[in-house]
Amino acid sequence: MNQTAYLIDNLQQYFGYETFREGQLEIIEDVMNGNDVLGVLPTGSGKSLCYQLPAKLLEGITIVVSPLISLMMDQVKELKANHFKEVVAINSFMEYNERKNVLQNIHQYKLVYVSPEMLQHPILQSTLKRVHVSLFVIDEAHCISQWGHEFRPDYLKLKSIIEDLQEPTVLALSATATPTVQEDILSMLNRPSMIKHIYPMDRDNIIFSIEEVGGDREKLMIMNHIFSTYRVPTLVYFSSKQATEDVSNRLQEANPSLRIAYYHGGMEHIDRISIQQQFTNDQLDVICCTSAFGMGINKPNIRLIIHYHFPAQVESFIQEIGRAGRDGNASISLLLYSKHDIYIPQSFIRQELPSRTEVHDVMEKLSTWFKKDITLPDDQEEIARDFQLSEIQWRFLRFQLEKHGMIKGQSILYSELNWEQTFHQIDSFIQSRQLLKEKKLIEMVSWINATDCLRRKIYQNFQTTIKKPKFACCSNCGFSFSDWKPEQTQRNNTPYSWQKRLKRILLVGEKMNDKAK
Amino acid sequence: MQLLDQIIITCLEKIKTERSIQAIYYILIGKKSIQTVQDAHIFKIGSFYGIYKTLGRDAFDERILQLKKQNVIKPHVENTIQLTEKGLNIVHQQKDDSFFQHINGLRYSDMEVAFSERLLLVIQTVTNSKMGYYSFIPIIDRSTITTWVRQFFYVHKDNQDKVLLALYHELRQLLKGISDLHASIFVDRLTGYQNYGQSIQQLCYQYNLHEHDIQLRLTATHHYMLHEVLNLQSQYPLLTNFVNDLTTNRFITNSAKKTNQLLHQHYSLKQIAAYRGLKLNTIYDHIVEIAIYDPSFPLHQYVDQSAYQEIIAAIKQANSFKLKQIKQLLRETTSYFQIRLVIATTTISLKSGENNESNSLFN
Ligand SMILES: Nc1ncnc2c1ncn2[C@@H]1O[C@H](COP(=O)(O)OP(=O)(O)OP(=O)(O)O)[C@@H](O)[C@H]1O
Ligand SMILES: [Mg+2]
Ligand SMILES: [Zn+2]
Repeated sequence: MNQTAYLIDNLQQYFGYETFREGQLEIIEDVMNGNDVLGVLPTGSGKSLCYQLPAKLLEGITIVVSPLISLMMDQVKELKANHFKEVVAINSFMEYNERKNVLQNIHQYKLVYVSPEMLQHPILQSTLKRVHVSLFVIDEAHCISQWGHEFRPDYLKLKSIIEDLQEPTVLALSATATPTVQEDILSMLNRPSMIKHIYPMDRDNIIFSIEEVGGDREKLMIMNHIFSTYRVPTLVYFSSKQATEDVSNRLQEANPSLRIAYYHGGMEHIDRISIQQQFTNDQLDVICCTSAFGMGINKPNIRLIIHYHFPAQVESFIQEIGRAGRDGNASISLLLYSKHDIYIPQSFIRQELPSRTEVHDVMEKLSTWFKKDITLPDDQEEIARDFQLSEIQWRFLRFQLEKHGMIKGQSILYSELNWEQTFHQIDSFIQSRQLLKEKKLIEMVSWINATDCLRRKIYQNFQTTIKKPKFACCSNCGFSFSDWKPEQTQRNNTPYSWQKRLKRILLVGEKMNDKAK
Repeated sequence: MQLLDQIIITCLEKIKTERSIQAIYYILIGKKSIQTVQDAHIFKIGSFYGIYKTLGRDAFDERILQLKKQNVIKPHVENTIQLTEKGLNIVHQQKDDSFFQHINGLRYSDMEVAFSERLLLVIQTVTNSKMGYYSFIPIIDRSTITTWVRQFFYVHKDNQDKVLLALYHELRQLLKGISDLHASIFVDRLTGYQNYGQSIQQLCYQYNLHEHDIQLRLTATHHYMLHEVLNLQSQYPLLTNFVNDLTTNRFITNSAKKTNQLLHQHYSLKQIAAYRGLKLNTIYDHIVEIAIYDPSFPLHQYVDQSAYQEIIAAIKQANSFKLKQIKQLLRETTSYFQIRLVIATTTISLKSGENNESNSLFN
């Protein structure tokens, strides 16, 4: 049997899919043959399969570095639910004993998800060194590039970790990597000869629509109007947890027949799963959420994505609307824009990294600690609190200080001359990061304000050609909501008394389902 | 008035200004310290112990702030708080709620989470399995629970229909014993086949209740169920399986448990301290803890009859459980340890009154 037939065979056997989607076979073949690959495929195109299938087939272990804990856990749950059992996610939420257990039996797994932070752990590193890692995957690989929209310092350390693992095959995946970011990924990983599989990322079944409004009241009015006409699976994105709660309550009040809920990272596990699954099951119509929602979700028929607040970069926006219409049917991205909205991402950019004085204060403190022979505490959260920095800020600064040889593990290294210079270097790095982010924000806003074709414009930095839209193009090319006739969700009624509801949940008097597999 | 507020002021009415407001917070979240357990015991608010483990400090402070604004409570000296006239009135008139009848934190708070999560996951697992659907995402992911449920499922996998029917009868029987509101909230939280339960926030909306209320009412329902199932095992043969291996809270810390074992082997406290490499004071803490929980605790071995009488008299005179105040009224030779032991085992209550100090002057 030739390799292609062998792969298709296993695709059917393990995943139950008939054929590969665009790009999958090409990437998987290269990976199976031991070639390093950079894969850029659109959101929702099935990138995960590009390592899940090889993981199943290759000898040894596949490591997947993934930036979001919730995303990892969802994928693991889904795989397990679908009979891929040799999979585990190692993260900081795991109880100590459980983690120990997993590490001791690591060779029993085929697919191991880790966060980049977790990967810094010496115990995990030495465990991985003792086993055969055949494939090393970097999901959402744009995080590795300092030009990428979600730059994460811990990603920069991946290169040396890969080197320590005796050079496994490397697969980097992303849905939003401009040519600049692509080059940066290769150089940050020090793999100049990676094979690039770059596919156009435009989604021809998503219609772009932007409406400018005077303020929040008008946003509510527009949404209420839409919700009084359509009952379709809908996500509404917000930039703060509080806003998801507030607006969700107001929408529910105004649309009592719709089932609306909110979702954000601050909720308990059981509630997050419930909301997510109710939505997947069409028990819910609308979810008001932060960007924490959606990454892991696998609902093919999300019809409408509304941005109540817009994200700070085009790349994030593309990723968020990418949750829509995975079944290929007509779906809409609607962005509600008011002029004041820009202040939110602006202030976020300013607060994300430590300010000049904060960097200065931290370095002062470190030098006094050095002189008193004090070492850094082990607990990173504690340090961040001590320095009055957010955890992200401290993680960033720690990485910078390590890079410049100012700290090493828990010990502080010091030399008068270096100190001064390092401060300036870190400072100017922060300045350039902020400048970049501001530029990205301006790019986003100028897209919103564009008067020509929104589709053409949003993809212009990523590719030169564009597919013909399947249904309609964008609000600048004459699309209006009244042209849209999506299939509406049917709602079944829940019985009134708790006795009847209990009976229904426990399937009393219900026949077994024979057609289910 | 919100349930949580009612609870806070009920606790406040009992502890008066004997403790800072923090002590109430620790009781609600079930802090595993002897101080907290002892407080729960001596102020007779043990039923509230650990009934709201996920209550955040900020959320608690917010309630305190609101109660102050509503003029239900007011600050007193040294970080303590007392009820106002209005607050006292509220405390005396409330109580009808079936909630207060059912909670028993000191007894059930340790079992509650395991019991309710097992139940939720069993229902999800068995209903999905009956429908031949195995790709569901479990709503509970704690490994201690999933392991248990897996075993349960394995044992019962050939008679799923029977299990579901038994669950239905037993749960219906149980829920008939509480208010429709509580029963209804409980049922809405359940997840079955292609039917995911409501989140806390959705329940808030649906019942027009505050999040704290929903959480607390669910907890009360679980405590009630535990009570019924544990006491009427023959009526609840299936649910009995869910609680058999769970233990009601007895010793809060494992460390105290060890000390107790050594005590039963007739080692002296000093020997135990040396043997375990702990400070004598730590061992004292353990003994106090044991005294709280063990009804057969031999108090006379540590406090003789006359010292006991004196300490009781001193507590009454001070009308306080504050150690310092009590000690001042006693002979030099009476130790703090002895006073704590007597407090831990006593059943006397303090007299109510606005200000303890002035009261005791006129007694
Ligand atoms: N060959 C295939 N045939 C049919 N469905 C597939 C195939 N490959 C993947 N899928 C499905 O496509 C959906 C999206 O897959 P996946 O989550 O891997 O996308 P992604 O490219 O990683 O998206 P994102 O950019 O949002 O992370 C999943 O439901 C997956 O099961
Ligand atoms: Mg993906
Ligand atoms: Zn257009």
